[in-house]
Amino acid sequence: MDILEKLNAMGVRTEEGLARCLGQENFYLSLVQRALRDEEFEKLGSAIGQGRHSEAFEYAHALKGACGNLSLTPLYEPLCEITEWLRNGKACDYAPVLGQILSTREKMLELFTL
Amino acid sequence: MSNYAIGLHSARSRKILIADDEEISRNILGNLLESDYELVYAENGQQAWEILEQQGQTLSLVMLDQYMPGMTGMDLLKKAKMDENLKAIPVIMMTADERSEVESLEAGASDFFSKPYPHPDVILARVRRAIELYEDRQILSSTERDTLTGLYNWEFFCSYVSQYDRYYPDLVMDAAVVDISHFHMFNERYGTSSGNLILSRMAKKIRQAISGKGGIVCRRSADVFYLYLPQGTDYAELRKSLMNLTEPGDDFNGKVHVRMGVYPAVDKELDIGRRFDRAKSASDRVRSIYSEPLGIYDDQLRQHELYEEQLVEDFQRALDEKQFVLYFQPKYDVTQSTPQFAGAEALVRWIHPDRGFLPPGDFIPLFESNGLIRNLDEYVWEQAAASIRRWKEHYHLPLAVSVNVSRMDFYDANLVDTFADLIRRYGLEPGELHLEVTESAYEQDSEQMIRTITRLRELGFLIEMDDFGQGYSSLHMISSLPIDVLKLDMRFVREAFGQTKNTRMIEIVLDISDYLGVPVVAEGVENEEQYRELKRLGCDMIQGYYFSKPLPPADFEELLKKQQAGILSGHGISVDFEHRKVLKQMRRVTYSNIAQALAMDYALIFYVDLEQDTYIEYSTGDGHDEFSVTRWGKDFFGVCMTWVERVVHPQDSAKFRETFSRDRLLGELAHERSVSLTYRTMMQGEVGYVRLKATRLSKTDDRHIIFGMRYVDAEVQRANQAISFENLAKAFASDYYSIFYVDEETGEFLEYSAGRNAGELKIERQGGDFFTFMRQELKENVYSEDQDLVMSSFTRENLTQVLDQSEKFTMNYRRVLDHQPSYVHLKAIRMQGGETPHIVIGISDIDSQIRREMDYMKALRDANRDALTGVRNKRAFLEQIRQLNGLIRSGDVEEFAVAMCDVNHLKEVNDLKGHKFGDDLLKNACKQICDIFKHSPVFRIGGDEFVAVLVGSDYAERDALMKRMESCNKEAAEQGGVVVACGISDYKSGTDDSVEQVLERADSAMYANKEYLKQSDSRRENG
Repeated sequence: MDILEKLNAMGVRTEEGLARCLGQENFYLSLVQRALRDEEFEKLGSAIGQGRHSEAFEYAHALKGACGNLSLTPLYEPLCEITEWLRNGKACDYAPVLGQILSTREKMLELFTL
Repeated sequence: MSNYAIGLHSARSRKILIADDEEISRNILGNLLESDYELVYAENGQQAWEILEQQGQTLSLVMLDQYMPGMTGMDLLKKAKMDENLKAIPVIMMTADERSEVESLEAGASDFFSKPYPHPDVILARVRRAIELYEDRQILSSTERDTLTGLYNWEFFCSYVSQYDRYYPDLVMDAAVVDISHFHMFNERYGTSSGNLILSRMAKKIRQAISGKGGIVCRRSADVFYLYLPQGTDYAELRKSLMNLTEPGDDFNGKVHVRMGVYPAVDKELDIGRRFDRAKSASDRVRSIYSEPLGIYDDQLRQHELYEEQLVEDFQRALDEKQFVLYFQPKYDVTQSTPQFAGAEALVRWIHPDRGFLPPGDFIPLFESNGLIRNLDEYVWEQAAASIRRWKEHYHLPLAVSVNVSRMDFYDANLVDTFADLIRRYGLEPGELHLEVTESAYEQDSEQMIRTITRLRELGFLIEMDDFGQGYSSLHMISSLPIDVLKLDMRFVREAFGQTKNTRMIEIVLDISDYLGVPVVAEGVENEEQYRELKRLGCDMIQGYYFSKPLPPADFEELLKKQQAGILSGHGISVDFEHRKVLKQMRRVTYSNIAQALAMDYALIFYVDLEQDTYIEYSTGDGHDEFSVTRWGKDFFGVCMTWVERVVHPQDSAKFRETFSRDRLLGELAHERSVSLTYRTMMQGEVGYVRLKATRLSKTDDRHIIFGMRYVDAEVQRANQAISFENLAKAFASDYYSIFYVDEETGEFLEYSAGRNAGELKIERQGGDFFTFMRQELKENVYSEDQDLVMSSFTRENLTQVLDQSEKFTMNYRRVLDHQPSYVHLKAIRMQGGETPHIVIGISDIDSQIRREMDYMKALRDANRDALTGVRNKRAFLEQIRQLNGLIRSGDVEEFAVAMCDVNHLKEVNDLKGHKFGDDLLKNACKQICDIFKHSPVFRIGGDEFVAVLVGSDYAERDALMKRMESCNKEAAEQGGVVVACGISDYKSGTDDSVEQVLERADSAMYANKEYLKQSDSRRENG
């Protein structure tokens, strides 16, 4: 099973993401890697951890845009949720959703390191 | 926004700005669009704004992420839409927040994408659509509007007028014409850029004035505006509101004289052109009536129009049947004790079979206005040449006959050949045919006219400037014109012997002719008194009823027979300067006096004769373009004192009285050259400043004093610097910053300067050895690059030699002024008026004029040229399309084809090797295209796109040329040269109704060729 199939199995809508990249697999996968390796994930985690919500919003928003266009749905959906919370300054427990985002990211990254 | 777009709808070469802070999204869009568009990226709002400001002119689309840190996409959108230069560029907003779609569109976005992005095909289609819509709009607005004023152009005006009539069939409409009088003089005085400013202000004023009335307006030609508006407008009021175009900070006088013509309640059956012809003829009727600047088309004009239409209809038959007959009016040389027959002017008369003898005033201006004069003139030239030939044979008389050459004739590029051919066919000498050109003709397109006239003179034809003094050409220009004879406008003769009996204007013309070294012919001389006076003043030739009316050929031959019995010279036009010299001394006018008078810049001049206690007053009238010799009278000092009561400001009256009392003034002038006083006037409750200056005519002349009155209030002064003959005379001297008066024998000289203070002509320097002095001056002041030229030309020997052979010596060079080279014009002529021959040398500053011309030529070149390749650009191409479409519509288009060319691999070369290599590739490609389509205009219309419009032999050989292109490509592919994909398509007469259709086919053909080249490429690579 190649990476695309594995991503697909994880819920990524690879067909849609590939279409946006004119069907160019290599190009698509290079963007996916770049998105997953983005340090903004770490920055998002620490900003939320330290309660810097408006800064965290910037990171979440940017990550959401990238993941959305690559159709990384398992990341995109929780990122949408957390972006909205942050936008509204909602006081709630961000940890579970953040945890879900970070672990999904790890799992996806593993596909590229295997 | 002034992007010049073309509607080819092929996307390459359009540039898109993508602004998104998020890299992945930028990459996805970039990957999607890069093969079709040139892309620039911004990572944040601020960067995007900077790119917009720098490259806005070349952008076809902006794609903006709505949310960016710092300046958001929405902020940027709003800012761009506020900017006059950027607001037209289409913007597509992109955001994940669909709720902001409405907000974006309301803020001026053209389209909206949600994020994540929709399917790539959707994006591509919408990007393409946004650009197409924008370009179509651009084309529409750039072709329907006059670029200078933003008003409709004539073509679109007409189509809007028809629409107007369709929508409001029952509305009563007027056609009106607004015309700025003597606008070319405004341009000449203040420069074209000020002129353009005035035109756009005029356009704005007209628009304001008619807004709300439901009218439309266009600029028909340079300074002529057409208005179509519902009846009920107060035109006198409208006209008045357009007269003052002054704005704060102007360095020119923005008051203009406006003439209007109205054709009220138009007949909507008439075509639109005719309606405005009628308004125009109403305006033309009041052209010369300064006090009545508003003309209405009425029944009288209609009758006149019908009469003229009939004459136009009869014209060809009249030519065929030789109804036009030449009359000859003799000219007499009066420089000798008895008048000598010296030639004749050929004048045309129309003996109409139904209407009888038609006065030339009825048909000449008419034929001048519609171009038929070309045919009539040629007929006259032919008849005149035939007559001269016949008379030569019969009477063995050398005889010079002058014929009229109209302004329209100069539009014929073959005019010189026509005349050369004419004298060849009739075996005449060029000197036997004099060509009369009216002064006003010189004003129209002086450069081309001067070129043509110079060539005619080189062939030996003599040029007479007709109606001199009637036009408004500047004296600076006259002095550089190629002319051999001045013909004094009949009006001056009439005025000189009218009620005021003032010959001063004639004297000035004579002085100018002296300066130019050409003889003067006075026309319209009717009686002995006029003849004697004109002879006394120094006219060289006389033409008029006093000697003879224009004679029909038979009668003129009788005259020739008589002459044959006696002595006769038909080439007798020459200046007898001895004769002039005597007259000059009688008039006691010397060069310096003239120069001084010319240099003055006064609104009123009083020439006071102390012995006879008389004075003559010259003034510019109230109007802008009228000149009158106002009056003469007795007791100038008495008159002067009446001003104290009438106009001098009470607080200045004592001072005025003291300065200008007769005894006091004469006392002052005994030891001072001049006395002047600036004082205030009160007129109609307004204060103005006036300077009155009294000057003795010369050191030895105790008899005459000249008073010059000048309005020193800047605006009043400008308004009174009217375009008049006298002002031209003033300009003559003030055009020269330095005038030398050199005794040719002794080398003694005086240097006058008419510099800084207008009205003063002071002696700057004097000395004994002019040439040594001048050569030293030139050595010190001439720009190094021009040194050799100037020093070898400006020698005593050379100057003398040139002046022996022709009447003037001229030279342009650069002097060093403020450490910069600056163009000057040096002109030298020989004056025979004094006791010994003198040379007068004038040096004028022509730097700004030359630089303006250079700038203009450069701007003209640059505007339509592609900077990299030097071929014409997209803007020029757009104009070409417009012209071709016009020809297609009118059915006048000749067969043509379009070759669309595209340079292969430009992007790769740019990316891999850099833009320097890319530029070289483009230049080589362009050269190849130009070499192949060498008889056709080539345009660069996009980054790597060129178009050639094939006509003539290139069109005939288009298939062979395409083959040549293919073989060039083949060779280039093998050797690694430039490969140019090319597609040619013909214009299909009867099927195509616009060039765009041809372009589209050529574009497809080019693509097919590109595809073919690509395949050959890969076949080659695969062995």
